[in-house]
Amino acid sequence: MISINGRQFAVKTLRLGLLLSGLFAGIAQAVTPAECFDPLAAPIYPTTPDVPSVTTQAVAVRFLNMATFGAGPRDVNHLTKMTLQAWIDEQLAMKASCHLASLNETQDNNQRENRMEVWFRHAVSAPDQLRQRVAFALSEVFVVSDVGSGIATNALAVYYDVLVRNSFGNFRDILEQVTLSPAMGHYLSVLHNQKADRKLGIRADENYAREVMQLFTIGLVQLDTDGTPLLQANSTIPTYSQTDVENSARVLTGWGLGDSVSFFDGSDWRINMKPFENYHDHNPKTILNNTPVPGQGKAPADLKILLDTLFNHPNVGPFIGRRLIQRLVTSNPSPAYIQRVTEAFNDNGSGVRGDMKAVITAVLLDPEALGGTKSNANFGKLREPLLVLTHLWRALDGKAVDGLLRYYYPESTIGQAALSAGSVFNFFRPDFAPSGAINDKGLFAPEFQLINDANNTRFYNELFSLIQWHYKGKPYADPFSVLINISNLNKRAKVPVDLVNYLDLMFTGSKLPDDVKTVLMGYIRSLDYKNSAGNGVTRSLEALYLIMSSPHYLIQR
Amino acid sequence: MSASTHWTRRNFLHCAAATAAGLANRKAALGLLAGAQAAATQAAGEDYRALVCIFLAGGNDGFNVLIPSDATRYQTYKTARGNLAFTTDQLLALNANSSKTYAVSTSAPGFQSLYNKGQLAFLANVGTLLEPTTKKTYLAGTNLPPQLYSHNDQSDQGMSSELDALQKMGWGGRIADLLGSLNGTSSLPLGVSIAGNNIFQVGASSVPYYMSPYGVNNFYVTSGGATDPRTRTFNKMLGLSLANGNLMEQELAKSVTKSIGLSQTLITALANSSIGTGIWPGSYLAQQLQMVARMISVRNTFGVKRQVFYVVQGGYDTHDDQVSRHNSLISDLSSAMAAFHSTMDEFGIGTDVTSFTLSDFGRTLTSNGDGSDHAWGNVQMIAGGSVLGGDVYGKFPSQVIDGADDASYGRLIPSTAVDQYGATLARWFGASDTDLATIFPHLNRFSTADLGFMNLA
Repeated sequence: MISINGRQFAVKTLRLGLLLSGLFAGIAQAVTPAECFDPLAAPIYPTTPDVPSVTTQAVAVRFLNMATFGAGPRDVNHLTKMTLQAWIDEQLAMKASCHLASLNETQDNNQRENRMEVWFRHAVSAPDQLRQRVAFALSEVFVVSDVGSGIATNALAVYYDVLVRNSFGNFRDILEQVTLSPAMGHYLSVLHNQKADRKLGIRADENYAREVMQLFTIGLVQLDTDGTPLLQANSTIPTYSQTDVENSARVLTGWGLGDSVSFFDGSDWRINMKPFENYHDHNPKTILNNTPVPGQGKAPADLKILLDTLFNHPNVGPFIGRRLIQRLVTSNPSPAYIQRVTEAFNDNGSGVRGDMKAVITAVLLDPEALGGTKSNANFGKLREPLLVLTHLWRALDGKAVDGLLRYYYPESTIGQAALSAGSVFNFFRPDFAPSGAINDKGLFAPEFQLINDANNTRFYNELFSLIQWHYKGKPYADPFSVLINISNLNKRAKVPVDLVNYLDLMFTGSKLPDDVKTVLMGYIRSLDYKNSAGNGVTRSLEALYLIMSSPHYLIQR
Repeated sequence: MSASTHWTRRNFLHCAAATAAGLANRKAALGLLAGAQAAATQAAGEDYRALVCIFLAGGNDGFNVLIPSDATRYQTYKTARGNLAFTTDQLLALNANSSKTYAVSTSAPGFQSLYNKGQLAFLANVGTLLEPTTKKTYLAGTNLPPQLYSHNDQSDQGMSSELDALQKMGWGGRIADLLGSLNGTSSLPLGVSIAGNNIFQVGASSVPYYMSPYGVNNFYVTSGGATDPRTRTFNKMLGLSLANGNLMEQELAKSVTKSIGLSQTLITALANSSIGTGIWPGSYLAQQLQMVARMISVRNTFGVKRQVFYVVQGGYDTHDDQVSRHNSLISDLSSAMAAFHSTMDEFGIGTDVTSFTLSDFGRTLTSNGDGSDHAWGNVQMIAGGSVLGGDVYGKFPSQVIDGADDASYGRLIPSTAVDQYGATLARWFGASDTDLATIFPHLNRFSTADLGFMNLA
């Protein structure tokens, strides 16, 4: 039922499909999603200007660890020659590197292994790092997953590209494109949702109606602009009622696949869903905040009222702002930080609400983001397992001999894979706190939801394997697996302090405490510089693993 | 397993299959089984009890697990459930106690056999409640659980029984806080999760041990032993994080230290474990329950007298394609529970081990086309030799849409609180009345703390 044949014209059909679906829906916004660059062409990296440094290396590393898939030497060098704002502006102007286009160049665009390889390749080597990083963050809010859903691999790539293309667009467009995408339609059952029918004894499906409010836009309780819950008689105030869910479910009836002739047929996952009015509930409805949806409205017109109502709800700024801050910067932003991001969401400075460029800039350049623990004692977050791997490979040019990044089953080794969460609640929830001191202080640490004895063992061991057994020059290493290049480390390994300082810079932004460095250097010094593994190799690998496995690195500050 | 980073799919499947299904055979081939079997069986006068929480993630449609089959109530069921209803030829009869009869679906022969053997009880219309609630108080909005019908909130509330506070710990964890001393100085926590992090097993001072269904591995980094310079450096660096790191660094260091500390103990113990001689189904739930069985089989190695296990079966959020998805889930659930309890019988500790289900919430009786939506009251299953099985407990609700028990579209208002359900299990486990009041802070709001489904003799 799901197939994309003929990779040659797949991209073209996709563009045509998006265009057609816009016409069908009749509610397309006047924003063009980013154009994809040709995946066969070598990626175009911006030229680094030949000027004196304006940003220190340590600042650059720390910033790139928030804004990209991990700092690498090329990016660090580039960023030191400009201001953070100039780097963001450069990134915002870049074309998108789209995943389906790359997937279509593989032998089988419907093979999950290829989707994983393409994801890692884009994360590690795409020049549009900020866009890719934000898209990944959005994929952990607007969750679609291949776990238990039966969604085809190429359909997931299409969905991921919705996020890639719209990352720097308007939040309202993201919301609409996500809602109308067949992958989300299948995952949360807007696809084939139909009006109540007394004879059949059926009524509208509430799945998306609930989760679009709870998880994608406004959340459960009314929020102040700084993200703190509003209170009435000391109680939080619900944002919506069960009746709102039931009526929004009716709004969301009547959508079939974009190429279908009748409601239940169709097979094309590349184009948006399209309305079938016979299956849409045309009775009047009242949704969130007593907003009327008049009778006789067509499915797209009704949907527009629902999405506009959600988009304009005052919760969206603090809701999405907090989530982006948590994914990119820190688990426990201060209310003032959230407030500043909300203001950027509400008005980009030109009177536009929902401009993601303004929101992302506000998240990354906020004084709290830049100040770290100096501006907020609870600053920091646990690095997601996927981000540890991408950082390792970006910092040390990890790739196979043919340039690919074959890493097929990350869920089995590190417990996380893109678009593969256990449920729409993502790999971790924004309000998760592990039992103990973090919880006792009323703080959150979402990524700790992946931390437990079983996961610790396999993550620490996998990292060990990826470093100790997967470097260029390792005897018998499979050249088609991802191998890191440690020559830059070996050069420095003759002088242990140089090696440790370099790794400290590249991975933590020079944040290792002195006593930790002293312990590490003592050990590195005790190892022979020259041995059968090659000059410096043992020292390099040992130092690299011990730093990357230490809580001082794994907690990103 | 984790050494290779570029497995082929075939390798991967081979690996998984070898770990799970082939275990018994490999053990038999190695001649380990007989000795392990002896270790698993009960010693005379042994004081041991285990609770196994089977969490049905996504919201199990319990009213399509236990189906009223007498003519009048079946007709009401059929009307309410529309295209989700089982036809009479899709039902397996349960032994009757009265003129009101019940059935399970043909996908659940395991439930039928456990029930008819007296080892399985159903608890009807249980859910999260702040106080006894009627349709009248529901419509008035009086003292309702916050965020009804939301997955994460209702799951956490059901596992914590603290509905009106920020849920920070679960009743399994509070049981561990209060009864953990029965396990003496055992290094293994009272709680063992085979399914990752959960609020259920977290207490004020108790954190479970988390393991995978496939066993425990050593940490490569410390494999050189305590005196190896690499191990010493790694441990010193962890120690500095514990001592001087920020809050998150300390917590991460704590977790890793605990994992490393327990891994060798577990590996050694599990080498002598057993899954019995019976046939296990191949489902992921069955693999988790096999690990529970293996852990129980070596309980004496750890010197534990009380254990709370946690396993999860996912996929119950059946908004779509419910009939086939739910049948397949219930088939896996019933066969896994039947295999597990027959293994416990084989170990001679059938009366010492009780499994029970929890879920996010029940589901709407009415159909949304080809599935059901989030609801409230649900049916739960309790199994084991100490269960007064072959009976339905609680008050089976009216399934009339818009009737006395219906909040809307067949969202049934629970007549029994999760607190009462948990308290009945906790009392059997050994909790005193004082303990129960701590474990379930709102218990005294409800009519009874003992629903009668456990044999306390």
